Amino acid sequence: MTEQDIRRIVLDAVPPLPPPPDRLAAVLRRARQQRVRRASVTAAFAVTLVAAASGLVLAGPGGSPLGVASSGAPSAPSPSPSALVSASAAVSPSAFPSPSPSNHASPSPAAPRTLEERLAAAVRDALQRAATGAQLAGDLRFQESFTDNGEVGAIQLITAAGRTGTITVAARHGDGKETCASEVAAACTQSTGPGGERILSVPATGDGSSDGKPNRALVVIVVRPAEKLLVTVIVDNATEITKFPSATEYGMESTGYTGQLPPLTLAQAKKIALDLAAKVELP
Amino acid sequence: MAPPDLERGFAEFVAARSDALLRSAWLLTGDAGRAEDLLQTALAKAWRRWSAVERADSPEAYVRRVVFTTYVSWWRRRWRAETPSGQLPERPSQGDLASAVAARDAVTRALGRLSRRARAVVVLRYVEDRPVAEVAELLGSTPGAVKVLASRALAALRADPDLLSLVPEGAPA
Repeated sequence: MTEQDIRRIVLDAVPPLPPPPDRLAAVLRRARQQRVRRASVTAAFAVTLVAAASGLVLAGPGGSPLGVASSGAPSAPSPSPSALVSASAAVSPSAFPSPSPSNHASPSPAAPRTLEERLAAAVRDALQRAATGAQLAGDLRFQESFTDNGEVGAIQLITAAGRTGTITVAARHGDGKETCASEVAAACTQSTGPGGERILSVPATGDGSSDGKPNRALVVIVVRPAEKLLVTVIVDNATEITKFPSATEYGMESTGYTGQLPPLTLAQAKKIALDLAAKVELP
Repeated sequence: MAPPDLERGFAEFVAARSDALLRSAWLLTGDAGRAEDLLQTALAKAWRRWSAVERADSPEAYVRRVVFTTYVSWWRRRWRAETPSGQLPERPSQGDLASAVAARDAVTRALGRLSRRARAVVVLRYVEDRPVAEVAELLGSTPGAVKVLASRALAALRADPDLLSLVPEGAPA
């Protein structure tokens, strides 16, 4: 069978694909929805900063600070929602104005400020608690592609127990009713966390492979029903991530599967997911 | 509100190039609904940057790259959609329509047995006839890795019983 045969066979197989009545309108609608989700995330980021400026500590269960603790700072008037959106739409997180030195205590340079930074800090914290000695290859790479789903998510290489792989963490709102039955058909185990969280876990074999070495993954989803929050942790044995110039541009695992087990165990992945679910506050 | 010229340019692009992009999306997903979903996802991403994309040398290359990279990364966000099947493939039956459907199923199954990256490489390299360097650039990989992946995918397709059943008798395997 020549390459031309394959090309012909494959092309002949494409069925007639009638377009939807108005594809353009559907696309623009999707883009608008994505923009609204982005705006709401940024607005919540502004709320966090205002709260920080007001001296509030946003803490998850267990007292771990998620927001910026600025204990000596004076109160700031709460802006209207429209002002929040307006202000947030105009500035990037890195360009957000700092409090004036004359009126405000300077926040610690290490204090996480953005939603992404808080999630990254929470991941490192959870990782150290669940798997002492585990090392991320660098800062988490937040992926723009997650935002299509209303998620905040990131990926990075990780080494633990002598094995290297990839960890992906993501958080999003759901309906709070997610179960194994609704999320995955088979091989899913459901249990209950210490705080009443619903834990869905499944060992998965991805369809990627290299050199005949399969991609093995552990997927854990923790659901906080009351908050309708879902945290997903995926650990697999892929040892390469595509390198695009921008960290927000479709980072993903690429080749280099080891064929071995992922670097973290299921118990460790659950612990990390539970830890994150206890701390993450989405807008 | 986007400037009318910008939206007009995007509308023209959608009207002119969607069919070709949709064919690629179908070859990747093997399903008309998911292909349309993939295409619209990619177009929506492109629209957000359209003022820059439109000025690029090839807006279609940008959108195509988004189609492929989104497809490859989808398994993470939609991992639960991965449904391994133990079903044995059906053989082609008689009749033009039935044969066409069977051939389509055979191709879908053969492509479905490849990894996502391998499938993307096959579509780009052998169906769309794109150079190795361009495939590597599109998928964020290296030319060497693409060559290896393409070679293995081709070998797998040549040995695939579903595809072999579509080659006329007497043709070299």
